[in-house]
Amino acid sequence: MHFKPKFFTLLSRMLALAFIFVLLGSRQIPAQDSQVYVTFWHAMDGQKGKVLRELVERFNMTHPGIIVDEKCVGKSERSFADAYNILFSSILENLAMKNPPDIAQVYENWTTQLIECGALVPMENFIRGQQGFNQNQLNDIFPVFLEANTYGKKIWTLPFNKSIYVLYYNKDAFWRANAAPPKTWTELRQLARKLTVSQGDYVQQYGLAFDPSVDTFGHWLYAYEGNFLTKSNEVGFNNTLGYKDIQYWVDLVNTDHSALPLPSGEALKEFQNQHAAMYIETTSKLSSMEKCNFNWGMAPLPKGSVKAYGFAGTNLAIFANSSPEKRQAAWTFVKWLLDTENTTEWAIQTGYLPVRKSAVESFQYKAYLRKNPEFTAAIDSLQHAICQPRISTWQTIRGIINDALFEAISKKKTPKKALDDAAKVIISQRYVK
Amino acid sequence: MKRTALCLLFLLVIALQGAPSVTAQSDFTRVYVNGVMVDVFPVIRDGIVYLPPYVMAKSLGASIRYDYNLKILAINDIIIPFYTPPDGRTLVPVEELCRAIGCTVEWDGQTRAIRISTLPPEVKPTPKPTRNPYDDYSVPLPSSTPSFSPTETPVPTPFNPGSDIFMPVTVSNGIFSVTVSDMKTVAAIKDYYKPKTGYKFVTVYLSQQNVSNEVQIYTGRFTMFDQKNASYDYAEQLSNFWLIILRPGGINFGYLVFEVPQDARPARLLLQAKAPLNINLTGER
Repeated sequence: MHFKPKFFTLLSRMLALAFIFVLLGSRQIPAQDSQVYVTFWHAMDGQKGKVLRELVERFNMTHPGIIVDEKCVGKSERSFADAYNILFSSILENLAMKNPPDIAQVYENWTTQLIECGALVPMENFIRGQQGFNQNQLNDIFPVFLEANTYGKKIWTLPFNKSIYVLYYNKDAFWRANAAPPKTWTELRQLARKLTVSQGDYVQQYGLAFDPSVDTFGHWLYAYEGNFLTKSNEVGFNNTLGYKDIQYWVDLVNTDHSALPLPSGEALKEFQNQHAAMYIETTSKLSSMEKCNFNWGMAPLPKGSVKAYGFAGTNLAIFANSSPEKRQAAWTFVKWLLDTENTTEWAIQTGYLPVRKSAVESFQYKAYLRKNPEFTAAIDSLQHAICQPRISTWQTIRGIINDALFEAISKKKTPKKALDDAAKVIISQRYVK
Repeated sequence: MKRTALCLLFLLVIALQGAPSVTAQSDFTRVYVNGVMVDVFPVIRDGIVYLPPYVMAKSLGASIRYDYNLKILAINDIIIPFYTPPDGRTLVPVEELCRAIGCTVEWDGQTRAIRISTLPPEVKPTPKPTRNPYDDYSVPLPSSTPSFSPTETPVPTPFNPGSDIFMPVTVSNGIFSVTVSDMKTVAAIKDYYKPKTGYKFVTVYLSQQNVSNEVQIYTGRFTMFDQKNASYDYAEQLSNFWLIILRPGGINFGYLVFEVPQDARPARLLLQAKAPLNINLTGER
């Protein structure tokens, strides 16, 4: 009777102690002062945001000295808001207050501006540092991505969520029309006409749905060895090639009536509803294809005189304002996030492209490609990828070319006049040299 | 024929004025468009008759646009030179005006009147409706000029800048100089994006220059306030005005699209930067 409670007290004390040890051992909570706190701002929302959060959580679990605080800055309740624009706005606002994040997603044309005002630490410093990449790890990143992140012979940022333009097509519609994915832009035009099915005045199925944007203009331009700007950053699109380019899209819409020019999201819906047999977009729309209740395929964009495809997506930058410890911790995270294992998982979960060759060769990604054979088109396109201009005013120039394409397609101006006017505005505003 | 008439007109004007190089605002010279008196004061300088372009274009049913950035004035898409006297008005030579619109001008010596008449409709060049968000500042004008019977007393229409023509406005706070060159209500953006029910789109064309000696990192965001002081953010996907870091002297320009209720009247534009800047949009100067 006397023995029993004593025994239980002892047992319970021992159990409690053991439990505490187990807790301490498993969670490995380090002392508060040795932790480095790193902020990471991005614009990844929804499913992609969830995948990123899981990756960050895994990093925090495995790196006890560092806490990465990820934050989706690109969210807004406003209509017609642009997630990336909100992100850049927040970065600039906080940079002016000398309180930028430690890591952020950045576009190439943001980077040029941020470098100019000394806001970034070049990734090159970390890559060549003690905890950096060895030559194999560096060469493992796709060369075109490294090129897009190199400014003045220095690597300033590293590729993160990259996608490439491809042609989505309705396999059922192609089967009915006895057609194969177009190899050239000329073929695409013929095919679009062939695939257009109308009943009286009502068009049941258009050949193509596309966003009449600067990127659309770029696809044809790149394929015929043109570019938006010349090598010396002068306006390079208002020439015969540019006029032909814009005429191609005008002909598709206004002569052949075989293509539907719509904002990208709407064009996607038309493709999903089988109202358009082809659709041009980046691989980032891959997850939206799950809604298609028909067989769909993905092909590289047609070629012109060469194979050349535009790619999109942001890179990771480390900001200069933080302390050396924070920068080093930020680099540890960037290096971890872009290693083969994590870039593979990021790519598989989101549909973005893996940034490393070893990721494409990995067992997991090969399994993914076997499951999604369509995606090989994207990987094949990657070796012909072309970077967009990297000048600070590129975003505004994009808008100006967007408007020019719209004016030509909606017959408000001739292709030549639309492009010449766009070039005139860009030059008169000294947006290029 | 027209040229001869014009030369005669100028000679007459010179003769009447006596001294050719004297700048005079003639109190007695009246301007009639198709027999209707227009409430304008012609300015005669070095033997050339100058008229205010906005009122004249409006009364002649012509399109007029002024590109603030390029400093170009065009009537019926024809660029014409203009003259800015020290009082800040904008004036155009009557000869250029009539050539752009395609009308005749007569000098009536007896009543000291300038009579401008539009040509018969089949000869009159039709103004081409163009819409370029960047350099088209055309203002929709009434398609037909109000016609009065000859017995009726002509009613001069007072020119109100705030009513239908937006006059460019520039405001500076020592860091940024912001110019709103035009503002208009549009039914749809790119024929596709329509405002939600009960709302309208207001497009504001503007430029922002760094007038300080330092690099400006946060160049700010614009918010519109209406007459009830309700605020509106711009629709980024429809606008083309992107935040960029501005070097001293650097300019950013483009247009903003606001989705505002039908009854909202834009009152001011606020630049949310380190030093907030308010731009009056009511036209009251």
